[in-house]
Amino acid sequence: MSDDSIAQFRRDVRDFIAQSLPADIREKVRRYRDLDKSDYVRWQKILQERGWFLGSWPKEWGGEGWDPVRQLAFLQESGEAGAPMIIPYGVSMIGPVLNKFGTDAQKARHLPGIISSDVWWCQGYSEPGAGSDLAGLKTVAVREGDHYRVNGSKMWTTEAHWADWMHCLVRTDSSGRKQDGISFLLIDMQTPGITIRPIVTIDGQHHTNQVFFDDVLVPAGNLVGEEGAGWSIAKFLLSHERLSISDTGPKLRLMGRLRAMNAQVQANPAISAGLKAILSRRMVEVSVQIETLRALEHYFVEGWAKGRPQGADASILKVRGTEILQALSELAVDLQGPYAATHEPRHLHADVEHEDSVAEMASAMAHQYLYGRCWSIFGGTNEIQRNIIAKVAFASVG
Amino acid sequence: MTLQLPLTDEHVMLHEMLSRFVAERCAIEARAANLHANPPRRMALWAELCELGVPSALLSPDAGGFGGAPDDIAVVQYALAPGLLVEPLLVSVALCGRILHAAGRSVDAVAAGEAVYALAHQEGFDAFSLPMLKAELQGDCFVLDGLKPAVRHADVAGRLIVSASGPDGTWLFDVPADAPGLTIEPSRQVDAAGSADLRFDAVRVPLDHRLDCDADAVIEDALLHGLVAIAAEAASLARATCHDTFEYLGLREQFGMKLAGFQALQHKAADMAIAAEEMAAQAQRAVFALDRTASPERTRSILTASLACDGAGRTVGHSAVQLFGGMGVSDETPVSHYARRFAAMRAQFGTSDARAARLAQLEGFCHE
Repeated sequence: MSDDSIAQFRRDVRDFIAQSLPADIREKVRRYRDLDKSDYVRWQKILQERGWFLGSWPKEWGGEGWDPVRQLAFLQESGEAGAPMIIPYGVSMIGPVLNKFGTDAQKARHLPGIISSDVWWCQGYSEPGAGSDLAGLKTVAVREGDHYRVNGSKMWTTEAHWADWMHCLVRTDSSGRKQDGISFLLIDMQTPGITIRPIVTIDGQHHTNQVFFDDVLVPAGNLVGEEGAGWSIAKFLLSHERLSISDTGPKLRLMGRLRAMNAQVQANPAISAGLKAILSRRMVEVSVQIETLRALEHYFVEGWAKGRPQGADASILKVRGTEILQALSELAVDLQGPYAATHEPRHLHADVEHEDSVAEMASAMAHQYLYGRCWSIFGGTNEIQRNIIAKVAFASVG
Repeated sequence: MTLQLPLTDEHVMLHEMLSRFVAERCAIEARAANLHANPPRRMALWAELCELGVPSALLSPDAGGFGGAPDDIAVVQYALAPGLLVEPLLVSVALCGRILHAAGRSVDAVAAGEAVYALAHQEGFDAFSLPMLKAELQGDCFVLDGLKPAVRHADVAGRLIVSASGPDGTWLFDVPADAPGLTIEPSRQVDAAGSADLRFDAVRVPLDHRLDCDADAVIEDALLHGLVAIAAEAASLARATCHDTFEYLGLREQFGMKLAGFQALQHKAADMAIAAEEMAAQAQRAVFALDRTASPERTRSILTASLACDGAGRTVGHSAVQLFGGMGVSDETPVSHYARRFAAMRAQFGTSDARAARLAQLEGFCHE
């Protein structure tokens, strides 16, 4: 793809968001408010109308077949312009899985709801006893006639309380290698025996949950692929996530916020030259980091298009992307001065009719800082990612 | 291969030739023999490099070379980096040659390696700040007074490009190193390259030695070329450092297992691998930026890339030394020299902090 056409595409994305992003959603994003389920759904439907919701899906699945360069351009432009993220559990995770491994009946049943964003999916992977060591999961599914009987518990299930369906890894066999006994099940969240316990996280918000399965009967037709194929399906699913993982758009937007906050500090005659110099130096550090992340993203994507082996590139993006977001959010809090420790979780849901108070702005940055701690943990901890990076690095010289 | 740049066949051949040169002529023992000699032989490889035509690759066709563009410089720097050359290829040819050509001077002697130049510009922390060395017109010549500290390669240079503060702004001069009144006190850089303090005590320079050009713009352009060249070199050296280190971790055993099996070391290695990729990505970006016409945005991109390489280079260099353990601090181990080269790069064309301060201004992070 030529540089010109990608530049034009970037302009198209910016223009479209400028024209089509509903004002109330735009305002919430600008102020770092929490978005509601309906906000995400509304935006995803607008994207679908424009033909961009399935951008990264291949043409034979009804998508646009964007290459990684175009996918990256879309992610960066929409993130920087303040569009809500596309919730991955449906369109980026289970959608590709069903297209690739699903039966015709499963596709007919589930793809329309994924494409229209009318059905909300959640992801049932982690468990209380299976985090980084995911293959150790213990939620069991026992085949009984036309059904599986599911017992166990899933942990850190983001937005399970909004979800209509869960795609879930369950244990159907405990006899052999633990990866080989895992299967991939689709579970209707209305099924009797499912209980959802909210988990309030470090940021004082309820995004995530523990989900309990107590003799939950799931039709055998909801098994995706063969019994025991769950692990390889899960790996396929995660490979579709490699680009969105570093997600520079929102970071660039936060960097813009930092610039504005720092400019206020620098213009304040009551603040000492020494402090201004320290904050200016920290601005340089985060600016260099985020520009490096952006360079790295382009370098990898361009390389992949030329046949560069993916190696541990996705892990590198995950580590740097999350650590840079954390660095940005730490500075964002420190720039609040007397409000640097202010955090009122309710501010995240305040209406947007009046301009934010200083405390509301500080709470928003505190939320970025606190929620930022999650980033280096979920999606495979940064320690697990470093294991992978080292493994690939050592293999490259071996 | 090289920073994912779109290379011509000529680039590929040049890279192969120079990589072969590094493999055959830059072994660590041979380097030590030259540089530990008394006096050190810091021009030991110069004649061969010139015979191979490397200077021509660093000079543009209208200056009589066959390269000189950002990607040409990057290819040369990338290929030669693991050789840890102390010869003044970059400064004498790519930078001083560029300045001379901008002033309409012939660079034939530079291209042939007969004239060796050092760039006597930086005086304080910041290479982008104006020179203080004083130049005055007195009758039929200019008179220079002042100090240029720790000028890289000034110990071996026969000629100097000297920046000075004249009555109407910055002036540039082409001065022979043996000019009366000029005292040269040789010193050594952390990467074993030579340098010297240059004291100008009423040094009289004929009128035609002043270079006719927009001195500030020419100096800035040369500095940016230098920073990009170093970014490409740093990316290559990081790759070499990672290679040596990862190989070593797979060989050495302690506590009955390979070092590569220890998670604490794996994570340090992972950070090295990440840093090396970041340097490659930023070096590529800097090469593209350098190709654009002068603008604050171009300078901003290059300073950003340079700062990224400074930080990542330190990570890579220090981690390699640490992971090699006792062997890492041995003069016989290449990574100890790689780490020293990274340290030298931070301090070329101004200190890393001075570049950060310059970037802070360009970005508007501070008001001055």
